Amino acid sequence: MFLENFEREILASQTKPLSGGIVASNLKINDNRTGLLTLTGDILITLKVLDLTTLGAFRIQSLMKSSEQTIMNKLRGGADSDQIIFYEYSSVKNTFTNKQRTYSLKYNFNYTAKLIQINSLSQLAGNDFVLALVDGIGHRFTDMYGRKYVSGGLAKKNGGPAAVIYKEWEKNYLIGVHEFFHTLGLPDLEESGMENRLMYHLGRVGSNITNNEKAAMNKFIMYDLRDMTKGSYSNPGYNTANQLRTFLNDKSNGFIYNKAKFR
Amino acid sequence: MINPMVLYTIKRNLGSIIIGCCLLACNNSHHTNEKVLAVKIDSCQLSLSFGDAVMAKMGECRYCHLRGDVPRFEENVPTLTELAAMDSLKISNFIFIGGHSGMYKESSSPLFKRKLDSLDDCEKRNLIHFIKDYKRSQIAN
Repeated sequence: MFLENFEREILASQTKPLSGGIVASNLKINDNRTGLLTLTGDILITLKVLDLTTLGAFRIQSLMKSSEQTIMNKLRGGADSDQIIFYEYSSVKNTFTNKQRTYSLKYNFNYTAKLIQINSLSQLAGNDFVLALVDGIGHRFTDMYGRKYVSGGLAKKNGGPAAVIYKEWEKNYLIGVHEFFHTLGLPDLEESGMENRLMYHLGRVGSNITNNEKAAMNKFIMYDLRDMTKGSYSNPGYNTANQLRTFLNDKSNGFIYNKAKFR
Repeated sequence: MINPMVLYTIKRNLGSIIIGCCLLACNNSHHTNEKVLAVKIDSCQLSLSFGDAVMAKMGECRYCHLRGDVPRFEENVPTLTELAAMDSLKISNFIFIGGHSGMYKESSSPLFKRKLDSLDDCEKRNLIHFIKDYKRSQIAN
């Protein structure tokens, strides 16, 4: 990870284009001087899709297109965060001082999402996001009420890999988006009355995302506010290929997939 | 030979005592049940989404306590993964008693204290549950 970060720094210094799951440019902070910071910029979210199914994923392109549109739509439109305690922003120097200050934050990024199909691990960089398509998932989970469920998809939260059973994704493309939003830090929802929410996961998936969830994903994407002052940014390395290997080989997850395709 | 009037009075008094005992017994058993119920009922359910919301309400701890897979915010500020590795009591002490004392300057300290004081017991437990999740498998369905 250190080497990956070091590599990123070198690349940045050579002004080569940034790459990875999160690539941000034209980053700016607007301070209205009454305690509101508005964060703007262009952010490209890239999710690489690896088909590991035995019979092939024939509808992969249309499913990727629908997912791409949904990810973009859910992230767009801005989000307000709760009042935060951070360091004071100096708009003159475009830097955060060491003096503490409370702010309200408004995320107002212009998001673009891109889903790209890949065929091998060599196409996966350390700081990429990945969604693997598999034949089956043996993992069972118990909800807060003690009931047991099968899994249509599985993800490692906060930057980790995601996987979805292709047949389930075909039935409802939102399952793939749901799993990817775990990668962007969102937890599952189980409480009754939340059945229409995208992060609900007990037998069905809704489509709604709240302001708080949007703010949480923005928070994950721009996790260190000080990066806003650099103008451009790409996410740190997650060691994605290794994480995916561990994730798929973990027996407790019970993945069924074509191992010959995992190369 | 007992006077029938006296016998009647004795019977009536005995009857009253028996009824009184029954009522007392019923009342006592009722009190016992209430006590048992009071111990058993705990409506606080732990959920990660609720813990996440509490963290946001607190002023979003994650702006300073960054995730474990990235460089730390400052040398003396533990990452979320480091916090999650502590036991629950230690996390609770860190958040609500010791860890933050003196870290917040005068300008933001009252706000933080107000936010801390506004949390009920269930919110505190959910917040700790959410932090502890950073040390778990992180697998979500």
